[in-house]
Amino acid sequence: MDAVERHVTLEADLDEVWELLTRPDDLAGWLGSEVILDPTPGAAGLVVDDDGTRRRLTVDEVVEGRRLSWRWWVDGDDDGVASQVEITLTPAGSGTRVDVVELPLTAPTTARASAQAGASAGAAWSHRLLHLEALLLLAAAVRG
Amino acid sequence: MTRGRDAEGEAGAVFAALADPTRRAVLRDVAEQGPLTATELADRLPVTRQAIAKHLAVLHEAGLVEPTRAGRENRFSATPGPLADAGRWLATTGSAWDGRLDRLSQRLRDRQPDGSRPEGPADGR
Repeated sequence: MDAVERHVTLEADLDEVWELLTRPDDLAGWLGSEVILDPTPGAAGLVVDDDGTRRRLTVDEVVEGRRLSWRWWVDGDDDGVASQVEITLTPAGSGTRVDVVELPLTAPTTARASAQAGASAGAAWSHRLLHLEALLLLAAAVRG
Repeated sequence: MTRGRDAEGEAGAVFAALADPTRRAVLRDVAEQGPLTATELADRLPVTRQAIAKHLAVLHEAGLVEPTRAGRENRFSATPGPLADAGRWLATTGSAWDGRLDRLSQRLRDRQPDGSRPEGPADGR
């Protein structure tokens, strides 16, 4: 396991699930209680959770009907974990499989700087992704 | 310098410290065979003693190793606490997505109130 990975299969076609991921009214029904997420590379957004946690985000990649990714970090927490979220849709029988991967990034301050540099920063950013498998092995070694 | 003391802040410093493969190797050796000095680590890894000392300083800043004075050199031991913060990040992030995907499924069911789909809350089972 390299990251947080989750998936769900929905009884709906790709287009319908894509609407749930991109239409403002629908996003506010599941991603957070308040969501600003314009599915355009480089767009800045905001997700507020039910508990009031505010996350700023920058949209990285948009492949219509297939993939949506963004970087986000807790607003005002300079030392917190910035992370990259990637949601991928795949046809599965009569439904659609939704895969979510969230990877921590090393430094939110750098995430903000590259967010301002636009979506092209995404590629340069990828080498900073952590290998959590290594982290978990280390955790086991330290405890042992 | 670590400014925040909350769990997210600690986890951020830990992830940053462990982003470097050499630092991970240093921490692994300290965890498995420590306490070790920078000189002893330089003998085990293909890195100079000076570079090892810098890596140890970053790991110490993230709270992952602790020095104890031994003669002219410090001996470093691994301290597992901050790894637990990183583990907590994984756990809370995972449960947050469990909740979001549950709501996503529910949202879809709410949009399909006529029961024309094979799956739904009233499936007669």
